[in-house]
Amino acid sequence: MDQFDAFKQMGEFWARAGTAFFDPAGISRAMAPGQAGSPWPGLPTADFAKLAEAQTALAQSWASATALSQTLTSALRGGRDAPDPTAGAVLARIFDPQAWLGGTAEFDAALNRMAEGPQLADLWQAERRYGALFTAWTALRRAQAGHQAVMLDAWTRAAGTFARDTNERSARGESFASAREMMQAWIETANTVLLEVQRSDAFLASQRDVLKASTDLRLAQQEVAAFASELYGQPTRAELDDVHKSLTDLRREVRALRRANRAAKARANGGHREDAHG
Amino acid sequence: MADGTRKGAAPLALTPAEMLAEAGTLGRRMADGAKLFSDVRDEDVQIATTPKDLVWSQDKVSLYRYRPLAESKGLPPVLIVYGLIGRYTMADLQEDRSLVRNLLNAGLDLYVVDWGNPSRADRYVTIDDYVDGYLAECVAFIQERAERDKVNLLGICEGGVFTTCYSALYPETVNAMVLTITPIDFHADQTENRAGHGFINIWMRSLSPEDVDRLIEAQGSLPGAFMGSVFSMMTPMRTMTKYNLDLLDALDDKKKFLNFLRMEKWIADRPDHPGEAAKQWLKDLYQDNKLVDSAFELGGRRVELKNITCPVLNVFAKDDHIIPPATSQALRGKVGTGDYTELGLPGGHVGVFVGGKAQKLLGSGISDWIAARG
Repeated sequence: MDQFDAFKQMGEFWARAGTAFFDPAGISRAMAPGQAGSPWPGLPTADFAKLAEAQTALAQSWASATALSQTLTSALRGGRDAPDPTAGAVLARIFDPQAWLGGTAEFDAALNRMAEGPQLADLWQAERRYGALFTAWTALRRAQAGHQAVMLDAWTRAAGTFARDTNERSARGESFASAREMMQAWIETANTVLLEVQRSDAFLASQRDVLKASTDLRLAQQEVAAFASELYGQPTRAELDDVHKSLTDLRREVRALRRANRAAKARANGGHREDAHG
Repeated sequence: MADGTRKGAAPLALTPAEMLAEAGTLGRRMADGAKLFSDVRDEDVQIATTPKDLVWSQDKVSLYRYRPLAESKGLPPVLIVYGLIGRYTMADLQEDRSLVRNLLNAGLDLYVVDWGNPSRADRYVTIDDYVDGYLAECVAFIQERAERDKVNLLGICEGGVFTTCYSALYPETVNAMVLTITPIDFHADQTENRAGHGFINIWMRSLSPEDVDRLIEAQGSLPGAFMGSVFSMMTPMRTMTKYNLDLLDALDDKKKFLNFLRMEKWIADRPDHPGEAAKQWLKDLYQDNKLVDSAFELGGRRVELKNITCPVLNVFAKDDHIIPPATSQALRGKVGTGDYTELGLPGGHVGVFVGGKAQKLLGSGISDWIAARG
């Protein structure tokens, strides 16, 4: 099974497992008799189908990109009989489309770090909140798959451009003088395409979807955490925010009083400098 | 779909022996690099080492005064104001690349404000608090200590927006204002529309105000790591090659390698931006572009750019992809002074401060300009 198949099947597995889990019949099978009924009010099961759809689209892009990457790498190192396996390995890394996903992965990882809070173990009683959390999680994965599909399309375009330019150079009887020169040509081509892509509506829309989904996931997690906090008598995020707001307001008042005091002293001394801040 | 190369010259004109030699060179450089890494000590990559003393603090904000490095010129003190995205240490990255040292060597009395490390507890702190509160307090302290009615302000990036607002609100306390890489018209990135320039402007306009509100509601701040990742997105291939090809190049030269590490240290020190202040920054300025229209409000007062009556030096980096030059140059004609000067320097957003040539021009350009307005 190659990477593409594994990815696709994982998506389908999640869709199947998720749909079955949230199917009322599945729930009733999982629960004791007499407890049947939907404890997951308003949970949209269609999310899983959309997730699978997004992942399938991504998988198709991935398959194209991988095939192109292998063709490029093989051609550039002189085919299967290339004498230098090290150079081949380096080239394979340079033309790996995964690197492009890695390029945005830092952004995605930052969003994930922002979204993924502490693991909460004792939340099995908070079904509704937990359901919303899971829905938000699938929405984030779906948004990420959509964004990665945009990036893979971009990689395919850049690799195609690079291959065409290299072919033309070869047809003219020209070669790259060194691996570094060739690498530099790829970097320049790739950079041009990436910078164009970042201004495209597709990129901005998918990036916005990822941001929104990660924010929704974070908020859903905070709902779960707030439920647990109240349950165990701990301060909630909202209560802490209230305290911090009061503290900020009090600091402003103290600052204003200090300033008024300073201005009053200045006036008493016949000075004018502090009046400017009064 | 591409089909690789066809007949003609081989794409890579290297014989197997030459390829092995390349691989060998690579191996040697990596071995040298490993040795360099093991030899580096913490003190080799210290940044912001110019001696200074804490002279005032309030909440998380600290005001430092640098110790003099040359005889005083007797000019009004200069207060360096950095923004909340990144830290002022960029102005004093290393001894031979330090705006701070260049200004001190010119005999200026120099202060710097450090906003500290805002946390979620500072969610409700606004730009009003920074400008009308902390910055005003810093200026008042310096006025009293120096026994001067006016000080010079030197704003950097978002800090330049802070000093612009302050100078408009309290013009009677500012002798002269130097802005560096400071956005004034947040939509002027569209003037030149250079590829790879102004991505944050474009990206922010692609979001709705509600997206920003929910982001801040969820995080309580604009996390520094998040902004770091946005900056990385702006130079995509550079980000991908930075820790392999670029680092490999730096390994040839210990000095270059240490410069690389110092810069990484500065980049890694990216505080979180307080939530409410971030909302103002992103919505009022990046999205609604209120500053250039004199529609931005702080402390219940409009920031009228024409109220800036002190001399203004506006420094921009000609190749700034984060703050495109047009976004800075938009200040021309908007201020209420005829003494307005622009200084375009070679380099990018950070390069103008740490690039070998640009940082020298920056230091002398600023100190000469201030000296002429003492």
